[in-house]
Amino acid sequence: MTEHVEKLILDGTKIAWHEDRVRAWERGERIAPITIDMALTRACNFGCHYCYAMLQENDRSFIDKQVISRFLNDCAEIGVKGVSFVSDGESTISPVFVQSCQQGSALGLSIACGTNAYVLTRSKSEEVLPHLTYLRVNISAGEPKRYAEIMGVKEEYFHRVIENIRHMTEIKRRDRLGVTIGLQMVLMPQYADQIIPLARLGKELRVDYLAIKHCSDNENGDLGVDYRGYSRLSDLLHEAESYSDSSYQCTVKWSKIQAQGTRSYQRCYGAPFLLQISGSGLVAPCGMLFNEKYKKFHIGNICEQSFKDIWQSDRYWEVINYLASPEFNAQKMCGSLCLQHRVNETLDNLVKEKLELQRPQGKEPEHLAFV
Amino acid sequence: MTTTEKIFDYDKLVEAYNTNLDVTLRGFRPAEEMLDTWVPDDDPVRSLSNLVEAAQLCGSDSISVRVANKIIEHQAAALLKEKLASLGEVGCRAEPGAVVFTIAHLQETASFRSVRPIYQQRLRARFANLRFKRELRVRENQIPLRATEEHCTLAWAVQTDAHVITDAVFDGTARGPMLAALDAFCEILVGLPVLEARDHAIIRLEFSLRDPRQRHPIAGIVLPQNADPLFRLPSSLANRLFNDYLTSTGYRPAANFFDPGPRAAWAALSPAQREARVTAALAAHGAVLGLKNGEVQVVDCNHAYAVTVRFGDQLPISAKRSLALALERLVREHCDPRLEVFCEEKKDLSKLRRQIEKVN
Repeated sequence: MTEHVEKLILDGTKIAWHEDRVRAWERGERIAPITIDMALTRACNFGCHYCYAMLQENDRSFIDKQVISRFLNDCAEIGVKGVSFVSDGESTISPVFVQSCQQGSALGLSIACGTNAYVLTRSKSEEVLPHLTYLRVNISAGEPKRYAEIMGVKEEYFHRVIENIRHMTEIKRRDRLGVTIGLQMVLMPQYADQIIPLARLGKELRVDYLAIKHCSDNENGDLGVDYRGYSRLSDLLHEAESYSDSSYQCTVKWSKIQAQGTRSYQRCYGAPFLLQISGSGLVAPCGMLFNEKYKKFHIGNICEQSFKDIWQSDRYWEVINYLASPEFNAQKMCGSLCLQHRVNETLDNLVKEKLELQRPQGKEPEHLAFV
Repeated sequence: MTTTEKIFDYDKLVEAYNTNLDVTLRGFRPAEEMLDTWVPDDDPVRSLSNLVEAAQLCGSDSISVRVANKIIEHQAAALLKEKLASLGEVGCRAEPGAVVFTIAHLQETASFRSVRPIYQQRLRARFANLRFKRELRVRENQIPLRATEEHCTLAWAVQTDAHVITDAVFDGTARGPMLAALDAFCEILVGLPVLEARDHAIIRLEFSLRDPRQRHPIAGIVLPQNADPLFRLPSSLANRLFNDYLTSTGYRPAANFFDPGPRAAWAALSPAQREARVTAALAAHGAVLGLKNGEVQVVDCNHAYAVTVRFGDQLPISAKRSLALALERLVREHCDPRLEVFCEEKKDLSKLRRQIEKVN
């Protein structure tokens, strides 16, 4: 494995590199999240079949310039390290997207973005790429027809997105930017035919990586993900990984795929380290709990109140503590394979004294602000 | 309740103290020797609780104090009683123009003060009625195991085919709080699979001992490890018993998926019966949460584990958020301990995504 590949942790957690914050958490201090995953809007210009956002509707508010500016200032002040614009909406279609990337970066925050890349034209990429730690394009097919079917758009969208990605990689090389540009395939077993075309496409586009991950589903299985179907794809997935070279990493998130939607733990300890905010401004411990159905987990809204006040509130810690208590069982009460999954696994083992936390030796991995 | 021979008159104690303060240069003492560490305070609640604490520190097991009604108003009397209850067993007797407070079992209670206040009340109640300091009951196909540490022993019997703990007991010479904690721990252990006992019995113990009226002193995440040193020993004993069980039986557990689920009696009810029970619980106890008639409505109880509710529009969003969690605790207390409260699901507002949802 090359040095480049070792630097990117795509199927794991970097929580061990944040030993000081874990120790503070263990002492019962009110720690700031290391990473906040959020969207700038709930809206999206795509209609992907696997989209979890369908299940996340909540009372909408509008994140405007003032709201996001106050939020980013709060993040920098309380010690948040990274903000990723991913979550439950397409942040690039928000009018405050460019400003948010620029301001967050100027405040010393690591900023990242997950996008379908349709509106990230050359000119917009020129404006945002210098301010990003990573940019991940959600693309679940390597061929136009299947792209249109899976992602709920016209075939022309595929060509626009590919052109936009080419511009991104050109800008990165031209300006020698540090930003990592990657692709992500959300894999449903029925998209198996697109694994190899996409692995090839990623290599041809000269992006830094392609990550192939499972599809999350809610506790009722509303998206109909057939987790047993993944086991049949093992050979194809290994073949996709063989496309990796010294500057292109094709990684399958084996740990989540092999978990088949199950969890080894019952408490959710990861939320105070990795918090999620809906494109409506709603602050909740986890994106899977955004829907109005889960109001008991809803903490506040950054459109109504400053994030610093929300974070300092007793309500915030009431919800966080609920998730860590016997009142809660993630195996029964949550959807499958959430964002906090690997952090949860590590912290659960720590609490059960099955492992001791030690800061790993050697060179730090990239994107440390995104646990 | 133990009665004391002497009743101190609070007014006179304060007066004597102040007089003494005025005339004594060195070797100052309060009027009563048993109140050596007491210093009166303008706040009568603080002053009186300090007085009882002084008696406790001097080794007295009970004290009675007469307090004139003019000193302590009605509201403060309730607060005083609550404060004094953390020091001992409180009794009150009305006299013309005064109340006599008798606080007994001061020494027994003192041993509980080494534990954070949020756990004291339940530990003291438990200590008054220890049920698991006895012989272990072992039947056929059960393995008895015993672990000892810091002069305390925890023992359990495990049904080896199901790996379930059938009995648990303790013994030891520890002080009251630890004996009470081990007693509560044994009750939690009985009926649990050994893996669940190792994984979660200690967080169940910590949670079960909290006084819900008190705010937890830990500002952030509450873990047995940071909640109180009291939890270290039961956790260590359970870990040792679990490891002994693995060694004795060769049992190699996979992941722990244990969840007690709703009680059989609750699950056996029809959705309509469950709905009626929840509605009745809300009607009877909703006022505790500040809920008025019509502010919350039970929508369905179709699943045995879930209650779906709808809040009235007049409630602000922030109130709905807090109430949803509080409601869950209420129905867990009055209906079934594994119930989850949900609000109604909101459908996706995105037309594009909704079309996809139909296809799925």
